[in-house]
Amino acid sequence: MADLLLPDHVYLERFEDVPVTAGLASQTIGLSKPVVSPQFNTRHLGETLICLARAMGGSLAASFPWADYETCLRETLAEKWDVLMKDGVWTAEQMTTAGSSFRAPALEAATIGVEGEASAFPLLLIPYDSLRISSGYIGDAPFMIKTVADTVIKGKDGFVDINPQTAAEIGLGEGSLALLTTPCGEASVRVHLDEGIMPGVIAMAKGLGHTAYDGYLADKGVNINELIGPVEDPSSGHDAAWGIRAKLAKA
Amino acid sequence: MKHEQQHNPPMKYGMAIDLDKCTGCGACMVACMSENNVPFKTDESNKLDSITWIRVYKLTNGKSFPDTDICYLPRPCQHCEGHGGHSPCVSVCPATATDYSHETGIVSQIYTRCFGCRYCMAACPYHARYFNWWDPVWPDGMEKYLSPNVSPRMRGVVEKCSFCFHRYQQAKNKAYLNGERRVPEAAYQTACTQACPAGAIVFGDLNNPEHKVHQIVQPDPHNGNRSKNPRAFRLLERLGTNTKVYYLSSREWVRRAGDNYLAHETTGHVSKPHH
Repeated sequence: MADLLLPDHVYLERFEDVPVTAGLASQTIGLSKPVVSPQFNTRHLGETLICLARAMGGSLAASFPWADYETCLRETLAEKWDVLMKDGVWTAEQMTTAGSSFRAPALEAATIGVEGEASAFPLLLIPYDSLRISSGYIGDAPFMIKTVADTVIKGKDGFVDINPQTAAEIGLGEGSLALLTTPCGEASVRVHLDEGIMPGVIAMAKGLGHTAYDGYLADKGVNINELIGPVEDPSSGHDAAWGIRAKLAKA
Repeated sequence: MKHEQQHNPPMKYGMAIDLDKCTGCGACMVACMSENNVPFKTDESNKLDSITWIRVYKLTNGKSFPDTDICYLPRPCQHCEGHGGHSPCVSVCPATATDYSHETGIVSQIYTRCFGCRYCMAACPYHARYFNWWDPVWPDGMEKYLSPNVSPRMRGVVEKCSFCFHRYQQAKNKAYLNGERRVPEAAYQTACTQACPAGAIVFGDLNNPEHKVHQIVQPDPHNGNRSKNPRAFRLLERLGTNTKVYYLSSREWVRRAGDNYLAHETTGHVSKPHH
């Protein structure tokens, strides 16, 4: 546990360069500008680091010579600063790529199996990202959770999407309560029939089932992370598991 | 500064929403609620009492996997003109709490006049109106976000999308001070339009040929304001509600979902008003 907490401004309260890390053809940097004054007793992380370096003295202080973070940003962004202040975004005109061939060593690696036995768990549970549900470490804000459909959460209940044909085989209808079991755990869920989902697959939104904060976020739906386990990708060492075998039974 | 006493031609503010661009992200809903001081409760999953001036519906073509196609449809108030300003909701309001403006084409809602009979909600074919079953409650600190330009509503009244009318009022004042006769297109835009990351919503004066919305929609005044754009349609167009929110899609099943068609009927037919 931390001995010291140094609360940062939120993005609406601070200057920050936001480089786009992937997905664009040329190098692109955005600039976040403060639009409100800090609402709480917080300090910009950059400011904190500059202060700490100054207090420590020596070569560390010399490496952080700026009076404040805004000066640091202006000087390090140099000629990009004026464009960023004017347009909010800077894009490199010319971009050279490392090569023109595409190599993916992972494609040659052995296929990773999904956890669980098909005999005991006939379905495949896939977590999905919803544009209306924040699945990172910060949960949905009240307005955002309000936009989530009543076929994703209803009261405290979370839903799984299932093909009507698969649902009929198990004897489940729209809105039915069901017990979802995976090799990692079990949860009570409701069923939403979705023609667009592949038969034999069930899908559940990521980012729900929070226990923290307040009634606007907590106790809504199921935390899918409790139902799936990590499987290591042998070529990258990353977590390759994005699904798990599952069983759905009438509750 | 001298202003000539001269009437401007009436405006008809409206929208063109491109359903082939909408990703269903819900940013329009969030921007709208934030802009218009729409409250929130801990549980908003009962959509009958969940107030969303613009609501994004999910449509499907009804075909099984793998031929399923989906479409998201944002639904603000359609600001019906009907025939000569006879919007379904305006016609039934016993309190004159909702009115059709012939100056802007906007259907208003005057909260302090509304006594909550909800005839307008029953009359609206688009479920665009919402009732305040409770007084709004904002958690500590959240009241700081409230817009001072929009009055919060009290328990017992109906509310709905106003096309961000307070923004029109501000833009009109600014135009007057700048000596401009008309509100410039960019000076009055709704919160949902500006928030849409896909650029799916275009807002402006349907009467003004210089406005983008007019150019997209090309409304035909001789044919019940039906769009001349073959991609465009309106919701339940054959009711004669003469709405000012036009939808665009290149997909026939989406255009067909906009009205109740019989199997042998083709899309795009508009009946003459019954009056």
